[in-house]
Amino acid sequence: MISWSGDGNEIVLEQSAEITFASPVVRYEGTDRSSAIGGLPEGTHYFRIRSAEGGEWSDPLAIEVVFLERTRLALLLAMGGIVVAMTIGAIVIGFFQTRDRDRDRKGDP
Amino acid sequence: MILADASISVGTGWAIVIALGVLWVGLGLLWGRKAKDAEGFMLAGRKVGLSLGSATAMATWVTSNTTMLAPLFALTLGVWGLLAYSTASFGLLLFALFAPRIRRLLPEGVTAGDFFRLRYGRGGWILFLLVTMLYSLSWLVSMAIAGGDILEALAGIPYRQGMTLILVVCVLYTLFGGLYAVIGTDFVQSIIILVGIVFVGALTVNQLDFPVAYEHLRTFQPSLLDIALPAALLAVFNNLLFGFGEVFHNNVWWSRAFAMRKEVAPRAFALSGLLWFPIPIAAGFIALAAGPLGINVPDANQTGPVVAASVMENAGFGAAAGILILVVLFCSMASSIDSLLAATSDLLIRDVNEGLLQRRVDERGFRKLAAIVILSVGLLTWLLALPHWPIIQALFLSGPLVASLIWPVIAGLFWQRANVALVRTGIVAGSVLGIVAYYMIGWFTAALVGAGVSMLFTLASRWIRPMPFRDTLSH
Repeated sequence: MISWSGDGNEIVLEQSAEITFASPVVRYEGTDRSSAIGGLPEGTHYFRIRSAEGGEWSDPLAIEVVFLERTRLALLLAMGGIVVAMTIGAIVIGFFQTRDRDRDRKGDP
Repeated sequence: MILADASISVGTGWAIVIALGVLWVGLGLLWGRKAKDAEGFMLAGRKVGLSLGSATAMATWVTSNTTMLAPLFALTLGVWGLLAYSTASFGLLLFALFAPRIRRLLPEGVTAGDFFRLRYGRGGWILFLLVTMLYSLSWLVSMAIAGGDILEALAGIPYRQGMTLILVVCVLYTLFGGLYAVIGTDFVQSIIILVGIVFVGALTVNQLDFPVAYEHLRTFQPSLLDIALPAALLAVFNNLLFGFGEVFHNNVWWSRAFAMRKEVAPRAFALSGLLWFPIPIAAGFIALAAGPLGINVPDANQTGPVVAASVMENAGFGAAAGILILVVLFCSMASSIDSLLAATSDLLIRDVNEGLLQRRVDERGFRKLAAIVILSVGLLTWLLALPHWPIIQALFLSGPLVASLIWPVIAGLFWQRANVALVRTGIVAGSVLGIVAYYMIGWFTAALVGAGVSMLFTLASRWIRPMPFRDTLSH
């Protein structure tokens, strides 16, 4: 979440992939004092604000997005797949086995 | 923070909450008359049918976390985030397969504690009580805090007053009506929640130009559409296992399995899972639409209400937006707080008072004790919610703890023998290593590690000196 201080006037929040803001995009224009920004790709992203009426831009704010290292991700995903598959498998197999067993000895708890 | 677009006056906010409070307490009193004895109060006479059974399971699982966190998941984890959250419904679907076995194993069972005591002895039972009390209390407190936050954001009611109000209402109708009142009000609340979410979802779809929305996301938030976003992929497995752990161990679900008619329980749980599955997708989809609709989200924790309010404002609903959001969120919190209050109180009466402390209570003394316990749990929740601390972290931290109970539940229900000491060791090892993973790698791995470690120990317990399980519970 990016937040800034101000006197309630409208501001413009810009984002750019370069610190020079060669090709910026406007992320927000309004009177709010913060903005939750998600979904950025890996890399460094720069943000700056100024009054909607014009004037000086603020110093750029750099935000670095780093994803989990790929080998570790692959290991954790493999573990996740195995644990989930075995858990669901154990429940489904257990259900059918005990259903048959319980049916065979009805009345015996 | 107050949501300017959706805010309603303090007076309107109080009027809505008090009106809903009077309605729930009134219904609680009315339905509570059916509770003639302890079994009626705790388990609604074990006669709950399909419609009430599936509605209560669905409504209990729609918490403030569903309506508030699912949009946050979508905003931060994108499409996978939506799916990750909705996988929590799989817990209910699989619990449908547990229900017949639970009733077979414990025909006179009252709490989940009865099962852990039967299968894993006093040590396993105490481990279960520690985990479930930590989890239930953090869930309860997190919802009281969310309730206070929402009333402050939507209606300007100061946090302490709003939080107190929502707790008082839920404590009162649980106190008067027990599980009869909880299940009855859950039925009404589930209908309000479904109508509200479908209504806002339909408005969002109506306002969204899908090709433009896709292009906007691809340009500004490309990771939300990234099918290989690491944290999101791991969140799918983690949430799935967290959800399994929550549902499989908690007395909220076990008490419902005992309360429903035997032949109804499997179908009711399956139906509630199917009904629940689209809710986080609808709630999260609203958040994905925020960027394309030009809606700024000033606070990620308020993503759902902010976007819902803006969408309704755009559709010309004005102040009605705030009222509808308040009613839906109030229902989603009340439907979970009441269930947790009832289920946690049952555990304290049955497992702690009668089991651990060996104090027998007769029918006459039961209602008095139930009232004292429900009031005490409510008071403790209020005291813990008062400082407004970030309890949601405690709830997330309980992920590996509850996930460590998944395999012990499976083994206890379906296997004939196991090495009980090894299973208990697995619960402790899974909990500890899961918490380590939470801090060392990230929250999105904690439940996965907890469940994985406990699984290995439980599987080993089947082959390393296993002993047959007891089949009856001695009191």
